[in-house]
Formats: sequence, structure tokens, C-alpha cells
Amino acid sequence: MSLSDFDFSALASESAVHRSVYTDPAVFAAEQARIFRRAWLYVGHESQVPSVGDWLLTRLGPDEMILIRGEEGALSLLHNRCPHRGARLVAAERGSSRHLICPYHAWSFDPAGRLTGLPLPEGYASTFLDDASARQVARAPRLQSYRGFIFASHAAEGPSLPEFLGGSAFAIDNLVDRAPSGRVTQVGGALRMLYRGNWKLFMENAVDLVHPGFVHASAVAAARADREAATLTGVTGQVVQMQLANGLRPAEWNELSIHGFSGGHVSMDSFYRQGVIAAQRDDPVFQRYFEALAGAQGEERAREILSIDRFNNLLWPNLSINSRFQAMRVVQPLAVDLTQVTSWCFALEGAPEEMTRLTLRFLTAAASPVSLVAADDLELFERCQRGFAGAGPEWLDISRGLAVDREVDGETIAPGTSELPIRLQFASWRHWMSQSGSAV
Amino acid sequence: MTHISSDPAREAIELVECEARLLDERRFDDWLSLFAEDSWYWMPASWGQNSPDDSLSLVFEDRRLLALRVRRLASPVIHVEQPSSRTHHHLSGLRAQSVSHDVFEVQSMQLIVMLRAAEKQLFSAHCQHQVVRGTQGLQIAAKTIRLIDCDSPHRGLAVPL
Repeated sequence: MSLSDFDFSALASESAVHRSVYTDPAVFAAEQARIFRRAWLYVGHESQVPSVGDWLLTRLGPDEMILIRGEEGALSLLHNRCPHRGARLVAAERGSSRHLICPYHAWSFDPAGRLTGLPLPEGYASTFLDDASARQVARAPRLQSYRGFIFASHAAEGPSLPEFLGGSAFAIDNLVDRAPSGRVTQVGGALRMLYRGNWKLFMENAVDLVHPGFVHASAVAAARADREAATLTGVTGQVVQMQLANGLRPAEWNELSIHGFSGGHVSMDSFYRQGVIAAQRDDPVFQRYFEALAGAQGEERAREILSIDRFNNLLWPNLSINSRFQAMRVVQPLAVDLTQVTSWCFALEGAPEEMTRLTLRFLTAAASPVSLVAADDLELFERCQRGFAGAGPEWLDISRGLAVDREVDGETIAPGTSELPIRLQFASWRHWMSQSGSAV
Repeated sequence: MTHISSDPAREAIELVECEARLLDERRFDDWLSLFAEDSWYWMPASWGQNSPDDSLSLVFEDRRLLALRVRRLASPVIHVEQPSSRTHHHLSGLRAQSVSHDVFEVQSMQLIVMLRAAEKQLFSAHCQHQVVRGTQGLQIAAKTIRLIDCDSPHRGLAVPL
């Protein structure tokens, strides 16, 4: 039996996973084919390509792509590869042009990827240009924006984007709803982290509420030594509060709920209760923001929007959204044991500028490789990866809390310290990895 | 340390050299004491970034947060620093310019070789120090570290560069 027919689902049961899901290049190759070449993946935000001709270099699973806005505003996602000799069409991070012209032999293409010109056409047989599809830049067959957030899939068929996102779409809704104008804009560049470990380790850790007290103990202790700093209302107080919050006791973590959705998506309650990071802020900046939101949406609706107090929201397989802090991370698998995490943040149109400054600093404190928090997370991912390679049990237990998972209104609810998020992500992994097919 | 020179520009340069030495010797409390009360430390995350307020940074910390970072480095459970990293700061192209009577701007190129978990990493940076003369003598009012690969993905890092 070849690997293209292999049913990988046996590697992850409801209560344990085989370590090869983190270490085996064959499993990684199958993930690329069966998950990252099929699922809906985030590729960019509409505010990054606002005008006709604007383009952005991005990725769709293993492939480098160009997200470009064409005539009448239509978006295309093109493979960054000239159909002639295969050269990368663009090499910059972004640009703007009505035509993409290959730097090698000057074949030119419109934003939809159609060939618009080439030198020496007389050198080709008369039928050559008739085969238009073979002369186009290859494009992703499915591309769809959800409230400005652009997703794409390499698969021509499969679940629709709304079906795929399911209950997790509320995280995008809540982020956009928080903007008084109803629009958000990606701002402030990006942060990029790299670790020598499997991509799933990041996604599992993002909703692991047992690790903070241990992995981040050094930052918690350092923050407790200067509690007065936590009372500051600006960016410094925010960073100190973030460290202190990681020092909750297990019973306090358990008071939070984890919300699981079908499709492997997971959301967790926020655990920020004090100071400028709490949902119930009353500082002057927040008051001005509330007035702007209430002015646009009505006070009742504004309170409803702001009452959604979640922290990380995982949109399986590789996206994490923090609506309250207007932040997003994409996990990019580079090899079975190498992963890049890129983070962006969004400004709420119509909100005070100070809100954007706070969210920029929040993300710097949370998702920079030099962050007081993230540096230790990355270290632990690398330790797991090295540990998997050594001798020892082949199966890793993921059963904590299994007995208390409960179904409520279409969600699976668990107390904060449950390993439900890992189980749900592997349930989706099993589903996609059990399906072989021509994509492999 | 003692400043033997009476040339104020030379003194400012010596302060920057001393700062790098303290980092290499892992004397982080002494390192922190070089920073003025209202000072800040900045590592931009994008090339040519001119403000920490409108873009993401790798680090932007005032002295209070720098003190938190330094306290953390003394913790026995700082995982990313087990075993402790080592650095060599190689400084070149040091120039000091007087901004006003008591303020100097010192530019330097810094090649920082780091050993972490038996593995060498290389950081190349253009650094800018604002040095002020106060009641405590010369102090650092601001340090900006512009890595040549500020916008590339980096692995975890706990020590100040």
C-alpha cells in the first residue's frame, strides 16, 4: 500500500496521539496534501490590497501566492510562478501594478492571471495562444472574503467557507463588530517567530491553560515584585498585568470555559480581570471608545459586542484570532520540525488612536520572539520536539478532562484545564487525514 | 569602571563600550543601572521604522519593564536561558555627536555572537544610544537596536542585545 492511500487516522485516538504525528516527514507530507492543500486557509486582509492592481505576497499552504486586486475590485490568488519558464513573478512583499510582468522573458499578465502579452509571438505555432488556460498564471480555485478576512483553498471542491468556519466565525464577527465604523484595517507591520518544532505544538499551546503558571513562572514572579507598576494605565501597566494574569491558580483557570466547535475550532474565555487589560475597563480612552461604538451601534448593541470576552480563538488548522486585542496569528508549517508564526494587528476604524497603540504593544508583548512570554513557549516547543525523538513512550496522552466534556447548544464545553482543545484539533485532523485522494 | 578621559564625546563612547561589556559579562543589574530613570530600549521590527507607536516592535520597553526583564533573568525557571546564553558584542564604527550641552548621540555597528544551547547565532545591528549627563554622571537615555534582519523570523530570545 502506498502512502497516498494510507489512513493516518489511527495515529490519533480520542485519548492519545502517536508521537510520529509530530516527527515523521511522511505524516507531514500527508498533512500538506490532505489538510493544507484542501482546507480553507487565511491568506490576507482586504485592507492590505485596497486598490486595483495592489498585490501582496502570501502563502496558501505550501505554495507562495500573490493576492491581487483586479478590475472592478475582484480579488485573485495567483501562484507566484510564470507559466513560461517557472520564474517567480514577484520578489517583493507587496506592490501595485495593473500588469504582472515576468522579469525573465517579459510575459505579462493581468490581475486575473490572463496572458496579455509576450515577446516574439511569431515564434510560436498559430494554435499556441489559443490554449489560454495553459498560458495563464495558475490560480487558487476558491477564494472568499469573510467580512474582509480573505480565505482560500487549493481544492476546487469541499465544504463552503461558512461551513468550514462553522461556529468559530463569531471570532471574526466580534473583531469587526468592535469597530465603530464596522471596518478594521491591518496596521503596523508583522511579527515573525521561528521554532524548531512541529506546527501543531503552537496551536495546542494557544489554548493550554495549565502551562502558563509553569512555563511563564519567571515572568509572573518578576511582575509580582513590582505590583505598583500594574496600576499604571498605559502600555507599561498593560504588559505588567499580562504577566500577573498568567499566575492564576489551577482552580481559577478552571472557572474559565473552553468552547469547542465542530471542525476543530476552539475558543477560550479571557482571564484578564484587572486594570487596562480587563474587559470592564473604565479608563478615559476606553470611555471615548465606548461612546464612539455606542454612537454608531446604540448603547445596548455596543454592550452586547463588548460583553464577548474571549482570549485566543483557534480557527483550525492554523489561525488564531484574539478579537478583544485585535490580533491574529498564522502558523506556517515549514517542515515537520520547523514552524514560523506570523502575527498582525488591526485598527478599529472610528476608535481612538490610543486603542491601536495599546494593541500594537499588546502584540509586541505577546507575540514577539523577544517577548517575556513567547520566548519560553518557543523553548518548550523545541524541548517537546527533541523529546519526541528520544526513547520513551510512543503514545502521548491527551485525556485530561475527557470525562467532563459536555455538549451545550452545539458547542463542547469544558473547564479551563481540560485537554479538550487538543482532542478537538485531532478529531478534525483525523477527519481530513483519513481522506486519501488525487491531491496526495 | 572609571572614565579616564575628559573629552565628553569620548566618555559617551566609553559608556556604550561599557554597556556592551556588562551584557557580555551577564552583569544585568549593573547594566540596568546605566539607564536613566525615564529611559527606553527599542528594537524595531521593520526596516526604517521611525516610531514604536505606529508599528509593531520586537521590543519597546521603558526602564520599569527593562527592570522586569532583568529580574526575570535571575529566575531559576527561565527556561529559554537554560543553560545561560553567552554573548560577545563586537563594536565598530563608534561615533559620538553632541546634540546639546548634556546630550550625545552615539552610533555603533554591533556584531553580536550568541551561544545558546551549544548553538551559535549571529545578530548584526546598527545601534543608536542617546547619552545624557545627569546628577549621576553619564547615563543612557535611549537605546535603539536596528537588526539587519529585524523583519525576519527569529527564535526565542530573553536577554537584552
